[in-house]
Amino acid sequence: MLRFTAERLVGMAITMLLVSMMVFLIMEIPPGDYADRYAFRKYSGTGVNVTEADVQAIRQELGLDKPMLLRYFDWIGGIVLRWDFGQAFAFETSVTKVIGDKVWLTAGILFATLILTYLISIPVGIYAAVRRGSAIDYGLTIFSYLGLALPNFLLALVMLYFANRWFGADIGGLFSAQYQDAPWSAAKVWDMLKHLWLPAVVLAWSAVAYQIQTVRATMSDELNKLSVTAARARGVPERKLLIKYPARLAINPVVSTIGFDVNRIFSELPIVAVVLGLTELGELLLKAYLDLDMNVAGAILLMLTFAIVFMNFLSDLLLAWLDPRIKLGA
Amino acid sequence: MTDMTDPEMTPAQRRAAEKERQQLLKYYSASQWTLIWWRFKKHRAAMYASIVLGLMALAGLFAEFVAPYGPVTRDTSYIEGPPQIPRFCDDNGCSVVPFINGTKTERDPVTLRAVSVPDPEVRNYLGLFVKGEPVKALGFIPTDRHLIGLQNPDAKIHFWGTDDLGRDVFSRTIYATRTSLSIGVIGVLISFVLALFIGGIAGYFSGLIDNVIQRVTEVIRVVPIIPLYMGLAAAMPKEWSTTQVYFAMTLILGLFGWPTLARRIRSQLLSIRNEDYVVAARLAGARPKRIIGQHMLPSFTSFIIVDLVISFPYMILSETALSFVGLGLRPPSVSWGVLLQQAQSVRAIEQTPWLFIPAVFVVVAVLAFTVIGDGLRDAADPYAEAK
Amino acid sequence: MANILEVKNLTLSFRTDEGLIQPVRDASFSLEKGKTLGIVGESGSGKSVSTKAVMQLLPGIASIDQGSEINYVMKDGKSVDLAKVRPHDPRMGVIRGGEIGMIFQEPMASFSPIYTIGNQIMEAIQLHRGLNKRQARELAIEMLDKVGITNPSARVDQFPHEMSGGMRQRAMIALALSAGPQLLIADEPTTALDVTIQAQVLQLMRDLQAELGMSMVFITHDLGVVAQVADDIAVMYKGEIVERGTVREVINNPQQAYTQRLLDAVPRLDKVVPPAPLKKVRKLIDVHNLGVAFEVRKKKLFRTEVETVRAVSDITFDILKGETVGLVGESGSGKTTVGRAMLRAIDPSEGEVIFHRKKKGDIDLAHASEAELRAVRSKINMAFHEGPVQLHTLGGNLLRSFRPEMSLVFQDPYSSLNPRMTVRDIIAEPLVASGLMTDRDQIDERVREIAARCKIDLEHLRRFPHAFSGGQRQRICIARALVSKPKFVVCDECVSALDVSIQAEIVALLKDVQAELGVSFLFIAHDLAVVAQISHRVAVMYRGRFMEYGPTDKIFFNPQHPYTKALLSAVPHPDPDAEFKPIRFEGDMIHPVASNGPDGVSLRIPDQPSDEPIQLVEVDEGHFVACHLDQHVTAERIKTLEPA
Repeated sequence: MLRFTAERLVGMAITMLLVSMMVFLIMEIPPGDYADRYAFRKYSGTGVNVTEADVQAIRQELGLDKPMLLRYFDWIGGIVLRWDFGQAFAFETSVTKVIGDKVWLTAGILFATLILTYLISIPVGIYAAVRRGSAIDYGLTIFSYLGLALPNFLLALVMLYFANRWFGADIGGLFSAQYQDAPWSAAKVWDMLKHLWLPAVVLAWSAVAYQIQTVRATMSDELNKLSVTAARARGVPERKLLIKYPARLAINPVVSTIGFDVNRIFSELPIVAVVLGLTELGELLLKAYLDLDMNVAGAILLMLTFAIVFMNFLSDLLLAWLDPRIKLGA
Repeated sequence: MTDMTDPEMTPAQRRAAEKERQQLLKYYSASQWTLIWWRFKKHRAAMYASIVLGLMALAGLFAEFVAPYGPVTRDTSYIEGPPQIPRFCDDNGCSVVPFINGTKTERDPVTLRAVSVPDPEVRNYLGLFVKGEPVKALGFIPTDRHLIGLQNPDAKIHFWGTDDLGRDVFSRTIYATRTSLSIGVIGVLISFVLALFIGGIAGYFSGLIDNVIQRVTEVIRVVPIIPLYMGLAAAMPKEWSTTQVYFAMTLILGLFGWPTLARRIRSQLLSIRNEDYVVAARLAGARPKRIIGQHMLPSFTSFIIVDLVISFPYMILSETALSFVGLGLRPPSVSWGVLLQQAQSVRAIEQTPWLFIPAVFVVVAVLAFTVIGDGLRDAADPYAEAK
Repeated sequence: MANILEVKNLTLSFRTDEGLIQPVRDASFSLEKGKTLGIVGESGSGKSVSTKAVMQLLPGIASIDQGSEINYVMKDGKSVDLAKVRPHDPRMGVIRGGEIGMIFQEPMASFSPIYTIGNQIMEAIQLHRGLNKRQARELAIEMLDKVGITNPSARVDQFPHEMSGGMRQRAMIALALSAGPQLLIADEPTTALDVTIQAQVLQLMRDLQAELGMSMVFITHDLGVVAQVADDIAVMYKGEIVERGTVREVINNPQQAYTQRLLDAVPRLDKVVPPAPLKKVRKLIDVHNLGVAFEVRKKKLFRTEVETVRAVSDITFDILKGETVGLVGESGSGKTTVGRAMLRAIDPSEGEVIFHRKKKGDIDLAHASEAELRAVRSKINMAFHEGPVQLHTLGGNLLRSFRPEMSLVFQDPYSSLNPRMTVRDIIAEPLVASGLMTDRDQIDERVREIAARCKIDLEHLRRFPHAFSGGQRQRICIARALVSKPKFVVCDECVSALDVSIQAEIVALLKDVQAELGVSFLFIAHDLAVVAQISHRVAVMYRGRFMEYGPTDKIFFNPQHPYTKALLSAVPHPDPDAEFKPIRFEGDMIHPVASNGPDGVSLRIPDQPSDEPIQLVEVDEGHFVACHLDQHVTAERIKTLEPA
């Protein structure tokens, strides 16, 4: 198990290294560089005429005239050694400050969504498999199709509309107005939890639709296994049998796709955040892209991807623990 | 099978047996594609989905002809107007040809703003192949006839209402269908070519090359896709023309759509390569060209088609999402996502719900592709059951 | 004695897409207390599903028709009609496992992979015996010990995949018996096992039955097995019981035509007359010191370790023109590897395979490499036209031109036919692919000729493989293998997947085409009786080596090597009066059992395939036995030994 963990850790490090290179490339793609945009932003409207020399000076000051490879090492080195993602020019402060506690808000939304997804999809998928061919199974299949076909922003809008009608206007966003800028307190956390369910439901929607189908398919396969018949033949009561044998194994594909679910959630997050007015990383990422504030965007993209890679790692470990064949098979 | 020569059979039984025999014979000598078609036909939902999608594609293809008006044609007399539903009867009696009432402008007694109200005195009759704006169908066939519209060329009908500039939502949606579906098609094709190339290399050469490709694929798969697309889309210069943006979008969607496909192609190749019948061909002295062309490709194609079909929804949803937040296609281009940009707020749901009609198209198209993909997947391996 | 189980007029209906199917119709059979009933039938005869009905383990689409009775006498003497009990009735919970135990064909699949063996045995014990966890564990260990699993207190905590197939089936028996049933239903319990393991499991079941006074229903397709374990037999065919009676009655004096056909089709090792060795025939193939090693990559933390695993080594034999050489051995013995290496479907790592040809000269197939082929592709035609060439450097080019002269018949007639080609195109493929023939009419003529020879209806040539059953498909495979008029065909377990009656037809077909075309076969199989029927000479393989090799009658009727002896003793004969005394091995694995040959020569079963120096020594004319060279033995000395 120790070797297994070590192997996965090394794999994770390699993946992250490659990911960081890719993210850096994306940061480099927009025409012009940080100095151009910085100068434009700083002096536009002030009446000062910016010359190429001024921009060049800024460039030199920030070390942007170095070759790309060196800049990459500066950038990644700053992150790894000092947790420094550079400057966010749109905010005229450091990226770390801009991101601030948004990481935790994002994590909150993520975990709320994941928990909701699994709480719904696992039992429902198992039920659908056991009652295969029934009206409920049929209905769930239709729901799954719809769930995957509905664009998330549309779902968010519709949910927001109904939430507004039923629960009052103060349902969007992550906090009620009075807590928006208040320091963290128990009351603020409670307020956040009250707001969290809406984004969680919207984000969990398609994941649930997908996972129900996965669980249903695996469960159906498992139900037909000889080992289930064998257990039945030794008199194991039906309910216990279902839980101990097929259901226990039907969870495995869900566990193995946790990283995939996180990926899907992060993919939808920026757009859903815009509609629901969530002030977290996804929304900030979109804003950064629109402003071409690539330091912020790169930092967020890196963080989100790291979270996915880390969840993949956790799911590998969890899977090895759940399924004894993996540990030994290597 | 029943014995044909059994003397105790009645003529009717004999005919039934003969019919059954003929059917079996047909089944026995049915080729792969015939079997796939038979099985696909049995999948009712997929058949319906194909018809719906076919109609959508046709409408998009002949958008100039199908849409009564151009995508940016404004009707200033009917701004943010609700859908106009043709009817057969009004207070003045009924008619065989459906019609809508005309509109007239009145001043709102309170706000003194000009508002359009129905004019029950005027009837504008619907017609097929009516005269309208001159357009070029398919880009080169000049015509001023439109599939549907009002017989009176001076009046306008807005089946699905108009937006804040008085543009016809129905026409715009038809034009958007073309853009969105074509982006899907080109995007899928680009990623398919890439996937075939990369997956083929990985599947053909095992070892180091395969390992490297697997790694890179893994890295691309791990980055959340929409934020990745957004990053690339954000980099498109603001001064680009709509055509440039359009092609850039297809390229972006295509360039990062390949990893999943490539993985499937690779594993498909690996599994087919070890099939006994491929080994048999090799032992019979077949050259690689023949092994690939005669034995591997035919069994491979049907799976690839399934994969292509099921990757459409991702393309369409991605385009829609990107355009929705303003990072994809930009006005004056029309795509489903661009149209939905106008329907971003809860206010829109309350006041102009018809602006959401393009969303129905998105859902229907994605559903149709998914259902067809399912039907094809079931049909793609017609030999699975025979074992 | 009273009947413990009495099935009357059992009819089962399955609702399928194609309509109502009745896999079992009006079947009646009964079992006396303490006896064993064998239910025999070919695949699809309904034997397995009818016992599932007893346990109410039928799939959801199935129902037991009105008028069916399954009368079962419980331990307390009360009789219950199981046909009327619903699957979820609480009584079933007691009957399943507690009253009636069941074991299945696939020992791997019948355990859940995620729980230990002990966990699953204890589950059965706790359900039916009301013991606490500690007592259940003790009993589980005791049961494992009883079924002959060594070191049971450690084994109890192992997962199924950590055990060998035979051990898993023993554990499954322990599980079924641990709840103390009075009736055991065994559904093909030994079919997936090697013959020596099968013998051990059969013996174990017989012993346990005698010890516990249990009744047993034993389902099998193997008449030999049933003759050895059953008291009574019911023969099933297409869902109906065609014949019932005691084992002696049915086997020695069958009343029904189907039973008679079945018995005739079964190859009898005890009565087989093997083909006589060929005399004065030239050699076709010489295999010399052939060895195949695979590289196994083991991923370590930062590097990959490459380990070489020897699949086969030191294979030396020859095949004469028009001869069939049988290759027998249990799973993992390397027999398939030998066949494939000879055809260069896999690359041998050492040794030579010399293919003798009258006109074009000899060629070493083992050294003609596919990589060389690519390098010299452009030289192909030139080389042929410009006279003698170095065969060795020509490599794969020549190899390709050789291939129509050799071919392979696979085990699985389903995966070996390209489903997307017509039968005509499949059979023609070797001609077209090798460029042997290009003229369509010529090809058609040849295909028709070979199809007729393989008894394929010419009408069928237009059809696709999905139109055919396993036996018909195997005919197509054989036709494909023979169409290029090869001199040598490897038949790799080509009858193993077929029912006995079809097996017999295919064996007859192979013999016929050999007589007509003079083709040589390497006939690979694990079924000794089939091999004995068809082979002129036989080689016995174990762990990648030849243990014994020689004329078929000598190998089967005068075996020298202890492994051959053990293998032969493990075959159950379809004769209830035959003595079944398999040579026992220690535990589950076959341990090196030394049998002292005369004059101090040690003949024993090797531990590892590669570690020990073994040499084939000729003990009689053409009869070779593997000897260990740890003692100084010369060939002359062994030659003087009298055959035992």
